[in-house]
Amino acid sequence: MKRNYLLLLRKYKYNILLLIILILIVMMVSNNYMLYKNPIGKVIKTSEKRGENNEVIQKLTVQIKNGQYKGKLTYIDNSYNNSLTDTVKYAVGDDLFLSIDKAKGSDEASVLGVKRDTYLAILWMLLIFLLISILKKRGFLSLISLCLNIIIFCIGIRCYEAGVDLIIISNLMVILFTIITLILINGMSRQSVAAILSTLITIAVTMGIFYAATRLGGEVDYSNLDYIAGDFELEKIFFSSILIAGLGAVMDISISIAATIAEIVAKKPDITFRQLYISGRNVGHDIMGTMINVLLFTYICGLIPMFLIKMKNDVKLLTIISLHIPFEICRFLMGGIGIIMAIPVSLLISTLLFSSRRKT
Amino acid sequence: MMIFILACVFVVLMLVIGGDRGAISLITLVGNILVFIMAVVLMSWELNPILITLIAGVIINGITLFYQNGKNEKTIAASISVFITTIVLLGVIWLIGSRMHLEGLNEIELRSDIALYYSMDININMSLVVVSMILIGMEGAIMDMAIAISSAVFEVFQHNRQLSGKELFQSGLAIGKDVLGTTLNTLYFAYIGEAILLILYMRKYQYTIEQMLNSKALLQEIVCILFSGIGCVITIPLCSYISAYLYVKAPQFKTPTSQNEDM
Repeated sequence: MKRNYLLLLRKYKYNILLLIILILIVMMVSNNYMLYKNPIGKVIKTSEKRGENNEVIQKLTVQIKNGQYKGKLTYIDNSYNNSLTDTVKYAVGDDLFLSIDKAKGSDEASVLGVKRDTYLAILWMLLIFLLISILKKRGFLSLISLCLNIIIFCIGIRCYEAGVDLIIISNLMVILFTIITLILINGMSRQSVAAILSTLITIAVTMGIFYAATRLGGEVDYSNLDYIAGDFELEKIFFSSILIAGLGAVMDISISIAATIAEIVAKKPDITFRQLYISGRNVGHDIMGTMINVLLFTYICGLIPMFLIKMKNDVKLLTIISLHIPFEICRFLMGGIGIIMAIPVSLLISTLLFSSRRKT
Repeated sequence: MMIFILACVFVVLMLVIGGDRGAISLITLVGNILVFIMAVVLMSWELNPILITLIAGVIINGITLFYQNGKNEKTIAASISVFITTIVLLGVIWLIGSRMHLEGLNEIELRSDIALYYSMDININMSLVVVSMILIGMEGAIMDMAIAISSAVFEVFQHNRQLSGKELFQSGLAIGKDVLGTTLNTLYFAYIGEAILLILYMRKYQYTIEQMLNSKALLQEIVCILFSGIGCVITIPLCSYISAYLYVKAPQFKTPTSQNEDM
């Protein structure tokens, strides 16, 4: 019995090691108070009493965790209503960023926000653990491509702040994203080349359609965009948002079609152009529907809170849909057009690329 | 006007390039949007958001899998695994969502006109709405993953009926590895495209890295991606196991069927 136990331990030793490391990281993040300049306090006791119109008043006992008041207790009053839309109900164990009035000392404090990084770390570590323990090397590669893409994105943002035009940056980013992701997923092969080419061409065609639509239909009124801030170049930002948003889905279709066509040509070199075209198209049709669904749900989910608030304030549902969310609709439609356009484009390019190899 | 043009282009392309399958996908899409709208309306009637989301999830599942891909062993296996994944993750999402205080409007929305013009005391518990939001965000990706795995395992089983459940499970895992990378990318870019405006806004107003990593606005997006990713990864072994079990063990699938192969 004990032997079995040891065997199991040996079989999963890397997973266990990984798990221990990840748990250590989470513990470090949850205790990183000294990294913050802002005072942080942990809620150690709450007491509640009813206030006027649906409000509940909370009295929080908070222990300060860092800075010059470390270890001291402070008391904060907080009120919330039961919808929690613009109020927060704190619970024991929450870490809060505090603002402490220097003159009055640690007795007077107010809440600036919640410290959320621990839970962010937990989710990241959970994802990393699942990816590596279930998918091994492929999971690791996916993680690397994710990290590289995040780094490219950060560099892009930095360049924008340094004054480079956003359209140029986002075009460069799209090219880099495509090349890095597809090569990491598929290795340096003819398939990857086909997929990269067809992704870029599809994106270009899609953006052409977008451009034509803006010329024909007139400029969009950008005043309804989520976050409006002064002299933002909203048109350019929206353009790059559309450019990037559909990229993943287009890549997915391109690589699937390229891989299928490569596989068929390898297995059956004497296949005709027409047969290749038909099987490639079947693959495209198979993924098209679910891909569009993925995009639909990722865009639609963020709208729920806003919908509820507006509907509760007697804004009609149809008004919200037709007037308040044009960008979400537009982004979704562009993503969908990208997905569909990817099918013929990547079919054409893969068949050309692979059948030219056959002749030589 | 521009949206109208784009919508026309979308529908025409879908019908021309997609043919019959395109028409089916289009109907599925409209069905899913209608179910979503119904769900939001029901939530605004102060019914429990999580319950509504689960029911809406089942209906969306039914429309997408059974209508779009036909009712057969593949879609049955896929829909069972989508449902189990949702239930498994529900608790985790609720726990982390409420600990993170992601509910309600974020700090940037609170400063915009929404907070000025509308009453915020709406009698709907926003901490439950967050859970629904994350669940609906995952739905598409998990369905994509599940149908890819269950139909691939089915193909393997069709070609070699002697395979044991364990071998089928292994091939399900192998296929999952192939699909996962690109699905994660789809999710990542979709959310990044959505968040680019937010990130630029935060940079413009001199948010520090610490402030960004603790802000409700950015974390609402990041948590959605992370949970979708986690959901996809969990679906791989789960769906491989369920499909392998169904194809090998369940007697009604033993006979060579696959008459409703509509591909």
